[in-house]
Amino acid sequence: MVEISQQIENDVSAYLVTITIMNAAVGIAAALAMWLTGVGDPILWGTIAFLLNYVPILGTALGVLIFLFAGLLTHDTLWQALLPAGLYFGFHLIEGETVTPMLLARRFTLNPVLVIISLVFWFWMWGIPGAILSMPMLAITKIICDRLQPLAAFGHFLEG
Amino acid sequence: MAPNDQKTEVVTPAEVPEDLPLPSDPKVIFLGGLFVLAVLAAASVVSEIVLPLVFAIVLKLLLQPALRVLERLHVPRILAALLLILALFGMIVGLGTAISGPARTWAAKLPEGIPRLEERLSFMRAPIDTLQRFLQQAEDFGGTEPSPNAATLAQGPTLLSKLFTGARHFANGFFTTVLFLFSFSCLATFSCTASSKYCRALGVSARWWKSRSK
Repeated sequence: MVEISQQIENDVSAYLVTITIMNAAVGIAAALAMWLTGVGDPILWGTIAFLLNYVPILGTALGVLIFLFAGLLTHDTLWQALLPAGLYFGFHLIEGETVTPMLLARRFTLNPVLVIISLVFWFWMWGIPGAILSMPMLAITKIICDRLQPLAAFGHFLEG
Repeated sequence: MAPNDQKTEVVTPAEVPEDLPLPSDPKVIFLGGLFVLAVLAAASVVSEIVLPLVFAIVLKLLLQPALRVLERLHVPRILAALLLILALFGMIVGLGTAISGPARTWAAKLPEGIPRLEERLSFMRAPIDTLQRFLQQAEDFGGTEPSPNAATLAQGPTLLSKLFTGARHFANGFFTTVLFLFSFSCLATFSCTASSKYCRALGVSARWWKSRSK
């Protein structure tokens, strides 16, 4: 039992550290992109991108809208105004579709429908902190279920 | 062939539950459901206590690798934990201080920026007007009486309000549709995978019963 709890702890820790490092990378990339495109305040945009990346799907959509708004308020030409939002979306695509799935094993992948349901549910229950915590909590539940034999079927149900 | 080898060919009953064990007793399922509901209700009612607790657990798991690294560097556990907590809070306070100024500036820019945005999005005025005319014509064709204050309404709202009202309706419908389509497609994929696995488990189970009856 102690060994199982140790394994669960290690898996959850590895998962959380991986997604946090990836979110930080997206935040740094977004900050650099905003600085290079002339929007300014890279720390603010980097922090926003880092935090929003914890919220699946809706976080990215909101981030694109915010960056689009910032671009439109800063630049006069349309392509320059669209550039920050486009770059942010590109970074998210590279991170979400290529790098993170490569770093995380298949057993850490989650069912997208359940990710959305969990997001809506925790946002309704706890607001913004709930939305940020929804994905880590779902992943923790899945990892625990995978490691405990009587809950393995539920763990399989949570898998993507 | 050794007797042990023969045993491995026959599917043992333990193989089926190992694949996907499901609770067979309805009492267990109902009690589990009630327990989950009670936990969620408690989490909702006492969120002021539960939320910091969940954050603390997540942060503990997040900082654990760094703690291990510090321990490997012969830093005492308590000191390492204290250092990490101080570093984390320092980072939060530092970031908060660094972004509070720019955030205030952007918030102040927002009211000034709305007319500018309206101006920037003026290229969308023509398609919106065309769409509105088309909808009006469709309404007239359907036999609906034009509303007496239609002229006032046509002139009344600004481009921004028209744009945002239209965009809100469009986004509502679009989001709902996409969510449903996405959910259905994912559910279909998931149910196919799950059903194939359950069928395999059932097949294994059937083979075991057959071998047992022989």
